[in-house]
Amino acid sequence: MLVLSRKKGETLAIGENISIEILGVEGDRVRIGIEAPREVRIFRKELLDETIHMNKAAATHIPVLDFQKELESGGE
Amino acid sequence: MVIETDRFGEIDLADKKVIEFPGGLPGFEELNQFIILEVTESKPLYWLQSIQDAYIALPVVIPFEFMDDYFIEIRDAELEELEIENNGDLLVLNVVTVPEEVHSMTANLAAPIIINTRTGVGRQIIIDARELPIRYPIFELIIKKLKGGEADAGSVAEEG
Repeated sequence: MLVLSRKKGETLAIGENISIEILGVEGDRVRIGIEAPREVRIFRKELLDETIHMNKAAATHIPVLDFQKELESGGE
Repeated sequence: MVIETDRFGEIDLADKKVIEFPGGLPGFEELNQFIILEVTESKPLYWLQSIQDAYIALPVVIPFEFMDDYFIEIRDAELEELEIENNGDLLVLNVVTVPEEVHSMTANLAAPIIINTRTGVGRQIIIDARELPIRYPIFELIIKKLKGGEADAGSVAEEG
């Protein structure tokens, strides 16, 4: 992992098409501006981590079930 | 070829379209072949069953069946990657998490699985948007849909 420090207003480039600017720092919160091509998806990493967790939970924790019955009785 | 599955017993792949996930699914990177199963008792949920691991089957919903205002933006690069030429070939699924308390079941709207039904290639993408919660309660919507279907059938019968 590359570790470096930047000041407010400074920018980092990742390759030629992506740049990340430090817009401001308030306490433990950093505001970041990102410019990237539209085909690059930018998302908070925890969404991927949670999706991994949820996929695993969804796939492995469910027995054979009768949702139809469950839903009908549960809805009344 | 017939495969053995943990939940659904033997399944003949001759009747099924195998969906290839070149990169697997998040959490199951090594599993890249799934089939979509429709099981009568668990409707309107579908199941994404791995054909490589008998124990792995993810319950999924088709969001457009429940939400009138479900909206996702799929990037050109993603459409190209899946070689989607006709929008009608695009299938969107959301993975459902069912806790012990079934009423609390949620769908992961932030990570739709997009599939080209013509070529049988798919991918799960992550979309970071306020209107796409990662845990979206879906139980009530399913009930509403089930009840709605019954009510419609009844009213038609009365009119007749």
